[in-house]
Amino acid sequence: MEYLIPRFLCALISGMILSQCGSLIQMSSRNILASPSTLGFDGLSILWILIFHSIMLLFGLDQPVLILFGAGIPLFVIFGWYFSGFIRNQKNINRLILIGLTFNLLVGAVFSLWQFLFLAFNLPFPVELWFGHFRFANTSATLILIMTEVLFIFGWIYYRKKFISFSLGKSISSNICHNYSSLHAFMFIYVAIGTFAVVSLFGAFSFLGLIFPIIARRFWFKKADLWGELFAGAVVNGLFLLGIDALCYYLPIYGAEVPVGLIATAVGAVSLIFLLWKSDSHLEILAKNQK
Amino acid sequence: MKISVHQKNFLPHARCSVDLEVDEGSILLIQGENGAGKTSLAREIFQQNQNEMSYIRQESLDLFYDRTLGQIKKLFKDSASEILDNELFEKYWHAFELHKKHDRLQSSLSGGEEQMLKICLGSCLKKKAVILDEPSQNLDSEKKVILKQLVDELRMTRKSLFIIDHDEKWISSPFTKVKVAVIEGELKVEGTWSI
Repeated sequence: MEYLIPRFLCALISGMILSQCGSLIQMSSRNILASPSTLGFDGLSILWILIFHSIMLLFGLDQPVLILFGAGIPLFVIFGWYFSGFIRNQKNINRLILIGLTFNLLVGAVFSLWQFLFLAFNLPFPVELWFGHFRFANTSATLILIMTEVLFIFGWIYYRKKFISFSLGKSISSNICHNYSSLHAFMFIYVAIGTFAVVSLFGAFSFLGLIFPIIARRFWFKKADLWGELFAGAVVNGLFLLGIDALCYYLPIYGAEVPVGLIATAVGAVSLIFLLWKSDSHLEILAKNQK
Repeated sequence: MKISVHQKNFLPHARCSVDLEVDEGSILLIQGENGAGKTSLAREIFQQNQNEMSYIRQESLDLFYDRTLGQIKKLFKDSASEILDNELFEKYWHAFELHKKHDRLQSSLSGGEEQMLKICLGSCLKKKAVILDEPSQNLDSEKKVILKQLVDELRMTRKSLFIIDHDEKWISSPFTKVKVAVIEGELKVEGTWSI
């Protein structure tokens, strides 16, 4: 039980963070195809971990979770802040999504090449990075995730009114408040930190940041305001990830645990295809360009 | 209120050299040929004076979330509570009969219904000026009368109004009319009339 509590807590909070990151990125870009994975946040996290892993190996150093996370945080805060300014000036978000997806493919190719070279030289390689799992969850990882979630809660409390007016769209929100740059910066810094936290601790969970907000919006959002999507929906999505992780833990295949990221990505991808197919006329699916 | 827009880049086909002046509680009607740059000018004026004015855009509302009118109203009142003239807002929400459509999704509104929603959300804020870009578009004659009353009421609260509209018949208050046009590669105010 001492092992399972942090593990399941990590799965729950990771699901919540991925759901919230996806919601923020989709709300700010006004495009449901935008997510941490399609805009390259996942790929950048993986790339950073590969570089960090290689440097540590080169100097024969150990790489505890806290050092890996702490070393990457300043980089991802700067990246999130820069990206918030960059995306505000973009008129066509679909172009950025294509760039992000291409970047992910590039990272995939680099990952495979790196893996090939490491195995050729008989060096340890973090193979499990591509499909996340919670097998190595511990108290430190749980604390990092809780702190990340607390950051979001503080941001929500501080920016609540701006969040709500911003979600009403540019034509209404620009009349209420003239400056959303700090909210925008907060949103993208949180997305960068949240994605990096989950990927660096447990590996990538592609598609979840994309599919979770859509599920939250479709099933809970209409009954409430943003709170429903950003918190109630996020908790349900977290429970969903926890459920898949529990299945992977209790139902090993020939003694080996299937990575939860593999199952979650497959379920996420199929759900997304289904939702997009069924919701072709739905407004939330439309990706309009901003004037 | 004095507005000066002298920029080279915001119109693709012309430089801009426009000075406009409108007193408190007055109306400035801006007219010009299609494509002259009226909406681009309005957007630029708003960008430069966002603190002091609200802007009712010509284009459709760009809501990411498809909400019902009841939800939009609740969230709008919540987030704009500090600058909202609640009495005026409620009065015109009812006058435009938007209260009868509380359960309708924004995506299901007709052009006229959405126009009334835009007018209600944009004009009842405590700002010095309001830009109304084609406010009478899609409105039937009955709703144009309500729009006229709203414009009169906004004037009474000493707001400066910039109205861009090809049709001026619905405006009953006195107004100053300017015509903007591109002359020798420059967007200029071509003529001024007081009516």
